[in-house]
Amino acid sequence: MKQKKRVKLKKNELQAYSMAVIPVLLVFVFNYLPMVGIVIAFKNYKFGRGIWGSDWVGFDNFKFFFKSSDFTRITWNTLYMNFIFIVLGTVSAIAVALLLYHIKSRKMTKIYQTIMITPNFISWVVASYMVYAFLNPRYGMVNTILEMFGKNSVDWYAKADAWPLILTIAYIWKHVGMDSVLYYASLMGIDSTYFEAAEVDGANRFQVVKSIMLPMLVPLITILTIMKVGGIFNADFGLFYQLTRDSGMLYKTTDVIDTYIFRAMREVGDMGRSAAVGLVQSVVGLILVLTTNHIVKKFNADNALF
Amino acid sequence: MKKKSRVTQTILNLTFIIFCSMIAIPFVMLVSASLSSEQDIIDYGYAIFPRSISFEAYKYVFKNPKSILDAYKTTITFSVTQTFLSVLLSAMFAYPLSKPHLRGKKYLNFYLYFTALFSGGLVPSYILQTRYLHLNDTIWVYIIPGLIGSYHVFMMRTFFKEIPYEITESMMMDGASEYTIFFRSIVPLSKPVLATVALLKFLGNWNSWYTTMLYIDNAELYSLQYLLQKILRDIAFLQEHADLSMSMIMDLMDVPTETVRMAMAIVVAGPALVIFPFFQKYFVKGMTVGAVKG
Amino acid sequence: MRMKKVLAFLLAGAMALSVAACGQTNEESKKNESGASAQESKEEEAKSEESKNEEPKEVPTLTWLVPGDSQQDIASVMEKVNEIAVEEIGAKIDIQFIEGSSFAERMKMNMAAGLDYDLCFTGYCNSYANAIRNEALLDITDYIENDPELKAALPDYAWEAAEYQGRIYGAPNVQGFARENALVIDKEMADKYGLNVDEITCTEDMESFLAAVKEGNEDDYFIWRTDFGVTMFTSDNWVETTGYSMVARETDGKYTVMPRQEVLEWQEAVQTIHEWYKAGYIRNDVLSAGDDSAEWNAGKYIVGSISYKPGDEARFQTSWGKEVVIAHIQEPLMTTSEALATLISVGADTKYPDEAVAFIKLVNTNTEVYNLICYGIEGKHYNLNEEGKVVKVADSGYNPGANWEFGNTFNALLLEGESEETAEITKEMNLSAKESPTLGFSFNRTAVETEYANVNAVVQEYNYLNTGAVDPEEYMEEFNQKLKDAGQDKIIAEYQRQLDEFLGQ
Repeated sequence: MKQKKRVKLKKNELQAYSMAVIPVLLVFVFNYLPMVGIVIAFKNYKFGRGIWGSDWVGFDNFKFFFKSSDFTRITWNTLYMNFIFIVLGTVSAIAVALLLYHIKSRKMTKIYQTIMITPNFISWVVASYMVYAFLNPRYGMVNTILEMFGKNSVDWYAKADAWPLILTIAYIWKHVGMDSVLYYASLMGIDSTYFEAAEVDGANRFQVVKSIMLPMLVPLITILTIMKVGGIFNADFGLFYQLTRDSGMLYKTTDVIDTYIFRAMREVGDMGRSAAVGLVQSVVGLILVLTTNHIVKKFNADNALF
Repeated sequence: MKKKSRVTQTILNLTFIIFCSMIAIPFVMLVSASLSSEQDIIDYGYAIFPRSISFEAYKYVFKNPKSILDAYKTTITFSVTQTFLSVLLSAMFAYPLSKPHLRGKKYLNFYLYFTALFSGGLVPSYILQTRYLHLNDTIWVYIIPGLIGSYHVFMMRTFFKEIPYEITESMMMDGASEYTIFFRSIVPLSKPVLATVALLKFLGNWNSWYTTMLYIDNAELYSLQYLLQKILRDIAFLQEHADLSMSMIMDLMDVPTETVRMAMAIVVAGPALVIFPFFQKYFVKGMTVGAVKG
Repeated sequence: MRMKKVLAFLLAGAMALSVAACGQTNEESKKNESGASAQESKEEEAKSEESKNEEPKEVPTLTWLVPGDSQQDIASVMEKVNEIAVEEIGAKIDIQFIEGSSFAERMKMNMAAGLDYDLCFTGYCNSYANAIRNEALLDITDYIENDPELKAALPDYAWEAAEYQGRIYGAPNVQGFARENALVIDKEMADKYGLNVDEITCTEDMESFLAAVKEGNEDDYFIWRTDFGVTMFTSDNWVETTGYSMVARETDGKYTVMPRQEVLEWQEAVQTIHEWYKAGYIRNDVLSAGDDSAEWNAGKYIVGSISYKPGDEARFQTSWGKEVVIAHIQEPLMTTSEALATLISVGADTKYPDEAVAFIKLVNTNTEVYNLICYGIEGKHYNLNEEGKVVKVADSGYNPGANWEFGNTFNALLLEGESEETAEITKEMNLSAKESPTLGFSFNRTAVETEYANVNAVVQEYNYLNTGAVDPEEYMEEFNQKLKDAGQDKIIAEYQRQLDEFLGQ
């Protein structure tokens, strides 16, 4: 009997794997085959010679990034802003999901969700027009309001210190709706018997949130965070480039790796160096993900990504 | 008890109303700008309510309705197809990854996640798709290359994992194949995540323009985003070049650049906004019938 | 157990696939290499037997990639063109339009992917120098030297400008090549505030006029447009180099390359612009205004800088809807960058280099072919009015509207509204313009690539010094220091070395 069951499992395992054959092949063709392009990072890449025909240059292409006089600034800005985005983005999404969960009216819930998700449809380019309508030193609404209160108007595009906050607000504005849906859906999936049991025990709302809801969200939070950590060395180019209108006065706080590379390469157009920086970003991401995953695994293997 | 609950509900609702208004203000401004006259924008800047209503910008965007309609058709076709195939295949990938006792899935997980971090860049993809697969200038170039995204597969995997093992086990004991289990039980139980991924995928497709730029020459296969950006660029281009007959220059003088930009954003985002409630309805329903609860 | 086998099988399969794929790319590149060498030998052949007999063999079709919208009725135009082309050069031509804004990116990919094309547009949206550095263009120097007709097809200054380290990789499409920075001024304002443009010899002279306008509270307008930055203030014995981080200055006939930020005039100019900003001549949102071309085209500025081309007075009058006056403050100068804005080049991977080069000659010498490509077929896509000028037929299915993409623009028929005079003046200007001493010089930055990229990034960051919005005193030292850190000195030394070599100093 026991043996029979094991044979059966194996058959099912095979079936399960067979399901993944097409997706695995697609990933192979469209993601792994082009990875030969990574060698561009080690080559003095000339279009006319092709990827293989170009000369090897070792780690020459990497020098440009590490030797850059702005290396510290762009690395710090990238890590710092991404860290804020991950933490505040997650916290706000969970908070919204929890609050939304407690709203009884289904109709209202739907309306709120729809409104909150709309920014997700908007590209950063369009968002930058919106931000500009607020912060424009000439017509901007913020300055109009400041002047109403007898304050001097401010050219926000020269005030580097204000931008970590502005960018964080923009980030949350765009992402909170969609991220909260993920958490909301998870909350909706929690077995109602848990809540019934809690009610019988006389737990109040906060206790329910703390001891039932949050723990149930942990797997999702962990997975999403691990994945985001992998991208911590990559900045959202559109956000940092479009919203700041590429104002040089703001670089102190808003210049990130991706915008720097774009700027340095705009006229030079050297793929080898761009590829080298991309590779550095990927490798750092990989190391961080593996580390985080390893730590997560120590606590709870089920929550780990792999 | 009841009274307290009503108070809580009011506070909650108020919070959301304020929060949502804050989120919505930029949109109101966008709509208002798209309906303003160009002169008002230049003279007075942006405002929450337009000083006078003008449809000039929309008239300009829809000046050549055939190309816009073509773009809608193309965009809808590939968005729907891509979304459907992508959700199906991603789920088929995620399912084995979600099985608790499957051996070797660790490697498969890594195989997938690796692609989120490393990519070969544009050139090799371009070579692959144009020289070997000949996808360029066909609608397939929008559909096939991006079918599997690791982020979405992992989202699904996480959801599948939460489905009680007992459900699948009993089916398994009855001799059901994994395919039967997947299509009969996992898929219906996972509507929330499938709908969410479908929505994300659809949005991504809806906003695609880079693919068009790299691979499409046939104007009938332009995506909506690309076409609208092109309309905008054409205005700027024509305004700057003197190689035109005088009558054409006169035509161009009055093109409302700023407001057209806003109107375009509405034309692109509008339909997607209309579609969203349908998805939402679907997945709220999916959540309520979801057997996950018991 | 079986599971492992399956996995092993999958892995093996994947590996086999990847090996196959690598093999394929390897082969491909080998093919490319052999293709290249075959090409070389072909070139030599071509040289040895210049005039080979036309045999009734298969007629090759040359693909020509140009930026622009695809033209519905291109087939009928190409048919006419090919009637002539087959007879003259024994090849057909197939023009393929790639959407203008995608062109640069697409060409980069096409070159990288080694796609088949024979001719392509290079210049402002597909950098000539970058394409050469990437070895993606065919060296046509020998063709030009061995074919006097081809050489005569373009004026000498055009060929000279196209030289890249002594070799030529494309034929410039001749148009107004002389660059002359000038100021456009709203005539009504000039009259109202008593400005006499003849008295303006340099940009600083504008000061009193700007002050008067400011005094007059012309609130509907912006007074001074800064998009040319401080370049408007610099005197013309400077040679600006790419990236705007260095200048070459002439003293006693010798050119010395120096960091721009250390040049006294530049420092003064930056200061002046800041004074103007403080005085309110410059819009207060200049830092973030970004693309203000809508306002510019609508005539919202009273004074702006342009690179002057004959006929500009009429052009601005149409687009601004009011009269303008031009203050000429610099001498026209023939520079490499203007000449290299529009060229036709031959792809390095072409299978028909002889035909491709012959076509360049054809399109630059045969006005019938050139005008066909520019305007289409007479009677169908355009008509000639009684003055003999082109009147385009609306929605005819063929209207690329880009003569400068296809050849020598002086060979084009004039459009209605264009005057012969303008064309003559433009030609005249090309001939009389002072030649920049560095015409034909291009900096080879191979030795300083790293520094070059980093300096570029720094210069773009401090671009706001050009707007006047900040006090230069505060940032000058920081700017200077960052340029030094980025390795500016190393670039300058290398630049000087190459310039000395070029000028033979």
